[in-house]
Amino acid sequence: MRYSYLTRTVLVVALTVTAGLAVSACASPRDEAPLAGAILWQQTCQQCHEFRSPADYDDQQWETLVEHMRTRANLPAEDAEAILAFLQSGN
Amino acid sequence: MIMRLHAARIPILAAVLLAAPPLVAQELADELQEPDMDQFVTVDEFDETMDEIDQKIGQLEAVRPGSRDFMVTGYATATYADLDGSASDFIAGFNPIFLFRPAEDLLFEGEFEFNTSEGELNVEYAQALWSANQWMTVGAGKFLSPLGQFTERYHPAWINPLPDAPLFAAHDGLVPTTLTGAQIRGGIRSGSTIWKYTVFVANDTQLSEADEGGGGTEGAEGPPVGYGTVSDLSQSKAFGGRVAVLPLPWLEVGFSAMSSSPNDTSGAALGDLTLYGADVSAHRETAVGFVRADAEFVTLSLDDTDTERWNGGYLQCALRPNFGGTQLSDFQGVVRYDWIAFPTGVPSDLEPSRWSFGVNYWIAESTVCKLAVERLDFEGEQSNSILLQLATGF
Ligand code: HEC
Repeated sequence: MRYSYLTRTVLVVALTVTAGLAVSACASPRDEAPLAGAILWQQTCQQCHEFRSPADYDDQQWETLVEHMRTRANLPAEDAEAILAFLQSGN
Repeated sequence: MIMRLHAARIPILAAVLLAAPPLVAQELADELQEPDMDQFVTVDEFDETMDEIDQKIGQLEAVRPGSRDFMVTGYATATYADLDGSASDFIAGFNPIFLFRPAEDLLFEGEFEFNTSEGELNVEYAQALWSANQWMTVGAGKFLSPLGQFTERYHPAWINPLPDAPLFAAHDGLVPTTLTGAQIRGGIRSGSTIWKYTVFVANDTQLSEADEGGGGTEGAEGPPVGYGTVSDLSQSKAFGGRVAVLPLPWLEVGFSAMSSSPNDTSGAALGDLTLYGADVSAHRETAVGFVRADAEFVTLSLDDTDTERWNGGYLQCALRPNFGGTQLSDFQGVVRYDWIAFPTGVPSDLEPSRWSFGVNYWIAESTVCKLAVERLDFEGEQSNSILLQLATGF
């Protein structure tokens, strides 16, 4: 029984440390200017499924959908914002 | 020039007025008559009036009907499966997804699953998500298992290039389809690298030592375990998560882990379950077309013993050829190998493995007609199935 708690603790610690490393990576200076929304859209929104056309939805619907996709795909917030702006300008 | 640009805003105002609820709109419109162009002496005066109009447009937009962020999306399927010429089945599926955003940082998402083969209505997921800050979203409810990529990201029929799920990820497979609990997740960009993380705590899983079939292999005996989602009255909980990195925008590599103390269907404790998973996906435009290559591997053990250990996974490659933008790019070819194995203690002919070959025709961006031939190797026998599926995401 003790072994199981040990396993769990190790798991949780390992995951937390990795998550922490990921978070600290965020603090490191960005070595690239933010990519334009259109490029990010091209790189990101075809990863899991075929592109959905910007014309499919109106501005407000895209806000909800990009939020849905941001959580589903663990997208960085600034990428999601830039993509949203692109989708809203392209419909 | 300035005048003409500003004047262009008047039709916008009219449109917004028309769309607003009649009473509020009337009130606001009364306050603001369409400006008479002759009354302006200077550009400044004109600009002032236009600023006022902009302000009113802002107010009106806030009361425009439809300002409640509620949407219904989802997907639907019609499938025909012919199993080795001996049995055949028509299956219909309908999965509406409801999205509601009561505030900027809150999102409720829920998916129902109607499926004629399972014969019941399922709540696939129902989750409240709070976007706490730029890199962290907190979710609570019933959510798709974030272990690996397939379950959370590729299972919808208009996304999965084959008509069924890999054996290990099917509803009675080696990984839970859904979990009920809480999760913290996010994505962080560091230069051109993206990091993704998800950690969760959830009700312990329920395992059925399933020999009633499952694992997506219609008619055949399924893998030895199946997860159920049950309410969990025990003190212990399942923990786990996934960490992934995208060193390049088209390449994602992820690691998953879960620790749980499952019960069997009668409620008896089955010991401790530990699951590890690894996944890789590369999706990119190449000289021959758009390639989607995915691989996932999971291994799990009960009570940290080698006798109760399973593993499974899949390798898949799909290509949408692109020869100078011809009609061919509406087609997609896909090959998959998937399996479940018991490294020790079980005769190896009980380990199912399968080859699947598919040709898809993309009718629209999220509507696809799939034809697949699958060859399953199980209990020393080989059986072939033909599956035909029409899937649409709406
Ligand atoms: C990590 C995988 C992934 C990525 C990346 C992704 N999507 Fe999705 N997308 C999904 C899944 C999975 C669904 C099905 C919805 C569900 O299951 O909740 C979906 C559904 C959709 C839908 C249909 C509406 C809905 O919510 O069902 C739209 C539109 C969409 N995605 C747009 C986008 C856009 C725009 C992007 C780029 C920002 C994007 N997707 C990136 C996985 C992804």
